[in-house]
Amino acid sequence: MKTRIKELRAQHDLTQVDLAQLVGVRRETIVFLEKGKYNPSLKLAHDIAQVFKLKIEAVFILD
Amino acid sequence: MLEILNFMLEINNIDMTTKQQFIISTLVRTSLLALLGYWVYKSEKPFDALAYTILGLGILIIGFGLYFALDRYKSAKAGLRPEDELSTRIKERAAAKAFSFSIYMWVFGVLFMVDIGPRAKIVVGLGVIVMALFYFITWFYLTKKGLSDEN
Repeated sequence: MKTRIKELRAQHDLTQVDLAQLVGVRRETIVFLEKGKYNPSLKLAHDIAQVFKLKIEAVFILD
Repeated sequence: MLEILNFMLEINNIDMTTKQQFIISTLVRTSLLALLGYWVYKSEKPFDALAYTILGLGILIIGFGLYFALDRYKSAKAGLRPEDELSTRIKERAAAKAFSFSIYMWVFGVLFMVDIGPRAKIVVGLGVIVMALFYFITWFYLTKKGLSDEN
């Protein structure tokens, strides 16, 4: 699974720590999500999409 | 002295549950280290290879525990959650791997124990330590690698 988190984070001028604080996870989780090394739960995917005011499928793209 | 005071104040700033967990885990690790020290101090016979192995593995386990405690502390200090869904899944995966590894390990252990008789107690103790070490190594590996194979 690919994600647009890094790109969206840059657009919104957010650091990994900022995003982690907004969605209530550790910074490492954001790192792994950006690298595609972790598939998040539906709730976390929803929370991240909410931060960027987008739909889940606009942030997480299945290969 | 000032650094210790600063550290204590920093602990005071993090939330109650994290603080309690950090204090309890530090107490457990300190007690284990003290027990190992007591064992070394009280031991009358000179240490053989097995004793050094047990001592080394014990220190390694305490070291891993300390590493994870500091990692959680750093996260809490940055205003982030010390535990989240990924860290929980990693711990569960590491525990599952340690358990499946132990099944094979104990089969060999039982075969080995038949021959060694009175030293069986040592093999059991060593087996438990190896299980704990395997758990910590898997945990450490997964925190660096992630869980990309999970669907």
